[in-house]
Amino acid sequence: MSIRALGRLISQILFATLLGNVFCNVPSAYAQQILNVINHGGPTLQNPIRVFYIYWLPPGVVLDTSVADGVGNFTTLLKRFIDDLSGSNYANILTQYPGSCGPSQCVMSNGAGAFTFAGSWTDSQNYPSGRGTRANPLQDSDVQNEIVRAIEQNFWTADVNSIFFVFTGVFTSTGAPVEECQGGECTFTLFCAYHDHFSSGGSSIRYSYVSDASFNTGDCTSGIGGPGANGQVASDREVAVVSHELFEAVTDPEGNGWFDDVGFEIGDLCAQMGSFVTMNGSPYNIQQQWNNASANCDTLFGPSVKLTIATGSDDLRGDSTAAASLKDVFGHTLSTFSLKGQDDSGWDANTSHIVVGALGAQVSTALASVEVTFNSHFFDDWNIDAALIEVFDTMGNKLCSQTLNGSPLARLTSSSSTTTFDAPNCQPQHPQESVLCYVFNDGYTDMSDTTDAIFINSSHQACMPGGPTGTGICRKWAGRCITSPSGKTVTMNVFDDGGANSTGSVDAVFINGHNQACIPGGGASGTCRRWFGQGQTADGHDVMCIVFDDAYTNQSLLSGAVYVNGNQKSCIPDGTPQGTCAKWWGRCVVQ
Amino acid sequence: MQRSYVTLRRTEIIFALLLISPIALAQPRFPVRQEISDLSAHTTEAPAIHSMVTQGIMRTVNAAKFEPDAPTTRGELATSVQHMFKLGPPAKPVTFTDIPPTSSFYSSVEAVAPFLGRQMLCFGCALISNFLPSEPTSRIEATVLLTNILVSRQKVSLISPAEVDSVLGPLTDVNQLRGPVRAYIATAIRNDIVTLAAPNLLDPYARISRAQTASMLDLVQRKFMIPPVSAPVSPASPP
Repeated sequence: MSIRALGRLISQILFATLLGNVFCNVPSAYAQQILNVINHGGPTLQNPIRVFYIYWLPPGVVLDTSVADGVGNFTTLLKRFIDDLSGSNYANILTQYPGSCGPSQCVMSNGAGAFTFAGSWTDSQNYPSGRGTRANPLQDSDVQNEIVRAIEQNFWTADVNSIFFVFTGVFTSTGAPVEECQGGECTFTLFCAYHDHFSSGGSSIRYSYVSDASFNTGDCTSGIGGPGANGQVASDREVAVVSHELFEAVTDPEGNGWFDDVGFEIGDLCAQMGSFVTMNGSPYNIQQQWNNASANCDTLFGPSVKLTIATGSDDLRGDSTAAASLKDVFGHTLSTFSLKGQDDSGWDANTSHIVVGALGAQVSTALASVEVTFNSHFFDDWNIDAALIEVFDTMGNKLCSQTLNGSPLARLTSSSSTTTFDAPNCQPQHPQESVLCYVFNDGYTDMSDTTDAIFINSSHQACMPGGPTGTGICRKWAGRCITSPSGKTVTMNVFDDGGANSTGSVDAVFINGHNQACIPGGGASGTCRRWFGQGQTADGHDVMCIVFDDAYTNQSLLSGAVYVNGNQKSCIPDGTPQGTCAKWWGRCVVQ
Repeated sequence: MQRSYVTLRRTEIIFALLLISPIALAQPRFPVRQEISDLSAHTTEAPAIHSMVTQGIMRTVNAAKFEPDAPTTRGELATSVQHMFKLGPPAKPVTFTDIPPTSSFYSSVEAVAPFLGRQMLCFGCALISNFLPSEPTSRIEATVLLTNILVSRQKVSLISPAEVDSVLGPLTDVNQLRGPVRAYIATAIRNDIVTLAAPNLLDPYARISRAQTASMLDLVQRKFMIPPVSAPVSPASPP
């Protein structure tokens, strides 16, 4: 056993012992984390990603028997999906999965032109040897031959960022779908679609076969019921299956990219979880995709930070780990993510690596610095010679970038394991000020110290941290907020859904027994509304706040509106009926 | 001293026999070996078939016939494997469109679902939502299912990537195995969970007959010391 392996074994035993002693019940969040897809070192597709559609429809085979011409909007919708995909929140999920580009790495950039619809062709050639039925299904080799034929017939060119989709349909005579097999599995035994690659003419052809989702007897409907987002459910369902295969073909085109320990790629982990999105103003039924950053199925990703780190003359060995913490101008941690885990391959000397993580806050909270923490195993040292920090919004637009170079830029060792990369280009033009508030009783009596965190207790009092019993310092009112350090006064408002019935600016709010936010006036019970917020400084700048749990964990995005729910949690809107809720509200900042 | 010890031993033995006999009498009789009339061409597999039928892990199709050459269906395999391993429902329910809670296969399919390895079997595929219990099962499906369960019970460990290459390298049909399933199949071959169809031939997608399934389950039960199970009330009733 090598020293490295022995060391790893010892650390695993120590870790397991500690884990067993300290964390007897491993939380489900941990269990969810280990579901994440892993980079196996292969390539991923880079933009522009060129998508070709081949409709293989011999006489007597149509795409949709429910429409008179057998096509309806099927082909136009599938094309429009590709046209509208670039720059969407949905496509942004792909930007977190880099792949190998020669000795280094690269990752797809979202934004205009990320995907190009490169061509389509309808082929009426018969299936070879009368294949296509369950008794005599098409074979994967037939599909590959059809792609080669389509490339030749249409003078298409295939590069490593091209993907060819082959669609078959339904026999009009029987209503049975065209059946196809790859290896020992078939459309009538296990799959709706698949993606793979083959070599032809010295090129690697990346392709996908997609059966007719509405007519596959194994159920490929993704839970999408009629009439579908675009009024023809067969074509809407087909978009969902195409989205599954396209996203997987981008992140794992050759079966050595991103998937988990048992073969689930980013679409598989959310298989048949249909969802609705709007892209470029048009509606789509798509399938959710796995988002490593949230360890969940999602239809969006970001804002994000892309870190490109060049290792210098001293490598980052396989057993060592590194993580990045993103900090705002106040030094608050916005998010933390792994740069290299213990199971990942080492970062060789003089190579560059890309890691993309969630910013952990909305874009208006600018990134001030990136703190890199190195966990050295057995006296490993690591030189970083360059770091490129880029911030992107949810549609892939680059908001800022910061390039840092040195020789080395940083040297990390077991005794000096942290370095901070400032990102002045990504900081706001005007320094952001924080906002501090007080809690107090009627008549501004019993004023507390200032605080950046307030929770509502079961008696509907506003409480700040402290107090002799750890239950907080609690008063009826919260308010008299000021900016720090400039000391400008901040007022707020109470209002109903959609900003309706706004009351005008005040400097004090209390929560009544119905969890409404109330301001003075309107009698002893005050003037009460569902929400409070819409904060403003005396010189007219907006103030926004977040909600979070104990120790400033689970921080939300910034919001200009907060309501208190039936469990005395503070909630901000997030598009769901309940909102994003946490124990505390605060950490307000001037925009 | 030695004599009194012997005397004492005799007394103890007699006492113990007296004590045990009522209990022994109260035990159910060991199931009677069921006569099966269609195994004459399957003398090799017959003991395994009898063992599986006696334990109720597999069932005869009627009172006297096993139909050893008939394909094993996915539903039958799920039922047999659940029974043999006494699998309970999974922590998180698994939904198949064609296996509603009212289905006779529901509890079996739910129980084996975490071990089916469907995604491994079709790496790169978007899977259908149906289980298709009447579909014939294949050698690779049965192998992955059993290996997954044995791994989860720590009866076997997945072998290293280098060992995987060594085990699978000589197979002429190795290119039919892609992705993570390779480690499970190599582990199964190394541990005799599956036997090669012919020298250097796995033939992973060949249908597996009921006789072959019986042999496979019997071998796994004996080799990995899976405790015998009692027969259900009516072993001859169809699944």
